[in-house]
Amino acid sequence: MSEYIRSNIQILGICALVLAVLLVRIAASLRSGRREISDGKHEDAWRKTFARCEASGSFALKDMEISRFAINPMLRAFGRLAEAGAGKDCAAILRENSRKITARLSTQTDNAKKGYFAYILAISDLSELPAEQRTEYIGFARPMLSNHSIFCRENALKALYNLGDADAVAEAVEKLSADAHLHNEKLLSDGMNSFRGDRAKLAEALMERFERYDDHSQSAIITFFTVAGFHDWDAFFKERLAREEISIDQRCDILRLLMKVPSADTKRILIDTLREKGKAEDWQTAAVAATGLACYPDDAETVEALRYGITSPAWSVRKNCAAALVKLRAPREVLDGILCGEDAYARDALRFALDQREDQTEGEKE
Amino acid sequence: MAGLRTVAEFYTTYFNAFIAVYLWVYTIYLLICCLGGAFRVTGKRRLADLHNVIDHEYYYPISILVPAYNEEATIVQTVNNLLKLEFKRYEIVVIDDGSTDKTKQQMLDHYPLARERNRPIRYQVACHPIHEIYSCRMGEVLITLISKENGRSKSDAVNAGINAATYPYVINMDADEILQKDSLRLACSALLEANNVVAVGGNIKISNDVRFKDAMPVSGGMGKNAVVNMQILEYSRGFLGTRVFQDLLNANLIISGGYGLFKKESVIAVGGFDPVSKGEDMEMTVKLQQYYRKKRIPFSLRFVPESVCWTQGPASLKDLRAQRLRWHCGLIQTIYKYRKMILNPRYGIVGLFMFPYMILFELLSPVFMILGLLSVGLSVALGSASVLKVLTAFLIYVLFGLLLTAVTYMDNRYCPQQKLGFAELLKVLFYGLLDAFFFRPYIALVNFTAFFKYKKVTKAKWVSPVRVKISEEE
Repeated sequence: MSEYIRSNIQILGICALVLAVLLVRIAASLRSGRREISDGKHEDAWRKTFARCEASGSFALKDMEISRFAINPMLRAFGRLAEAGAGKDCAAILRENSRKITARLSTQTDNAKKGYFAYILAISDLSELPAEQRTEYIGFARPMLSNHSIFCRENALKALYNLGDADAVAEAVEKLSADAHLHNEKLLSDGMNSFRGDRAKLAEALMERFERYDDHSQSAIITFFTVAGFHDWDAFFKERLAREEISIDQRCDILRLLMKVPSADTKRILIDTLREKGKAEDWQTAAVAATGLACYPDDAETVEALRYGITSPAWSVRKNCAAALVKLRAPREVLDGILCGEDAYARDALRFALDQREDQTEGEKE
Repeated sequence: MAGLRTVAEFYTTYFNAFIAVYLWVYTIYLLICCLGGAFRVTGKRRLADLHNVIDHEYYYPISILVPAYNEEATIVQTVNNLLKLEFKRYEIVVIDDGSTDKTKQQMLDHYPLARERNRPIRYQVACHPIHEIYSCRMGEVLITLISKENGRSKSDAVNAGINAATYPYVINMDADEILQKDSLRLACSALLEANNVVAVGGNIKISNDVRFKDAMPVSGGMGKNAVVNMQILEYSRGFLGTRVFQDLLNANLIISGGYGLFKKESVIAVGGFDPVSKGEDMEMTVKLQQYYRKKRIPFSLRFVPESVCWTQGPASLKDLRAQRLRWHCGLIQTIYKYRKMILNPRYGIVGLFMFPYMILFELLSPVFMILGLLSVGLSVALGSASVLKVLTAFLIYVLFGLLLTAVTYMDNRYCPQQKLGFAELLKVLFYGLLDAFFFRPYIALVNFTAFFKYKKVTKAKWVSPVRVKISEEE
């Protein structure tokens, strides 16, 4: 047996090493359940600091306390307190120690910690933060936008939205475009909507740089305008629709923005789009236009355009045209014409739209 | 006699060497997968701990497809749990695939479903005819019940669901499962992280011994049924080990049929689920890999272990055997269908690495295992290998497997409330041993028979195993 072990000592050594690694992993898994207890201990340490600061009337931290921002559990405990009831004390600490904290965290190589501090900035009440400190935190968040981690970038953006500086956000979006980071469009537009500063100023700042953004960010901005109800640049976007290089997605977003404020101009655009694209391969804009036309009175031209659209080979265009015709309460003879017409697909779409209206009416009665 | 002995010695010498290399390569691969997976999951947990996550209120609209064939025992419970999901915008589409029991009646009795006579169905993927459609709203959620002609396969029912789905993302699941309350939110975070995600696979756990409240597990872990316990370990190993690692390489070849989120447009682009396939989940995943790699369109198939779906594992060896036979026949079918991808550089890591891996270590593993055991036995009988040597090698192999199982199980935190103490670890090690000596050889034997029963299994119609209600607290 011992001879056998001696002759296979290398293989057995490797096996032992691997087994040791695996055992360490098991031990680590078993230990992770104890983390919550230690979190409570670190929160207590911060509470003591708050009490000391409140007693002395100054929230300036000692060097040792500043270094806590670079230690995982202490940073986490601070974040938890900021989320919970101690927001005021946390905000005061962020206000009084901005330079020291950003200097300490900027030297960090761990992106997760930086990302977490950006998250703390995003959830804290920074409404009373003086301009100088605000600039320091913006300076801290800006380089994080080039980070390869989407989580880090998103937290940095959230911090910028909360800091409320319109130019900083507009620059951040430009940086994402320049670095070709395809940050999710919905995250961007919803983020802009959560902006804590003057949203009208943000809209202006974004429009100043609009041509410098990539298609994806431009769409996010248009969606932001749609939700926030900014229509000062509608004329600009109407002109933009005429440009051939604009993507289908962006065209749809522009139509959705324009649809929000009915006007003769917009109606013309919607009718033209439906007629031009209703039977084309790139039918997507026609489907959006059909929905938009449901907001206009049932004049002959609108109904005629929808009647044309309902015979489209694209399912979504047919469906939206049918819904619009029903919503507009189009004349009976028009509906009968479709229901008794030769296009079976148009018939099906309209019949279903009529059924849905019936269900809705019954539901309302009940 | 001497000639026979020479042949036997020749066979054992070379085959033993092959088996030794085979086992070492397999063990090292599993080791890399499990450690890679464990470190990734730990890293993710740390990031979540430090709020480095995408936790956004916006969610993608999703149609949850529940194909059901003779599922009267669980269908209402499944739909009730789906109604408890923490998610903004989703619909539930139950597809009754011509059940011969009261599946449809159960749905009609429990929900205010009204028949829709004029709803147009857009047949974008092939399926058997749809006879009736019912729908109702439960709060914000639209429930649709589709009654269709039996298509002899789950795929056909899922395809019908895709045709009726109104939202751009679909979930393919089974009718005996509980989607954990937060599962959709977590799966969707993968869609927000990158713009080219076409499918997301979730973590599947065995629900047999777990109690639930409001679509969340409240207690449980390993129970008394050894067959179920060994499946718990097997699922932990499979999902947390290999799939997390393959996710790193964008080389996942299976998004489980028990729980997978797909971009509807992508599924339609590849022609929907294959109604002939017995392993429709693997077939769809491989088809997506083939489609996007061939056309050189950037894409990713993600696996999100935090997004959990609970399923019932077969509780008897008979049901387990039927399930595994079907799975192995599905594997044979898929590999044969996509044989052109094997070692084809056009398909990148999937063609060059994943396919050879699947063939050598999944498809042919029962063959090698049985021939290997024969060869080792013959070597001992001929005196060319010592019993001690064979036993040591076998014990090292078993020990490795055991520890890998323990690591993945402990990392998987089977149930959030479960205490991962020393007693649980002992239980894992005990069932791990049982798994190595009994379960895996048994499964290998079943998979081996799949090669002989292939025709019969692939022609068989869709059968639902015996289902029981999942244990829930009020």
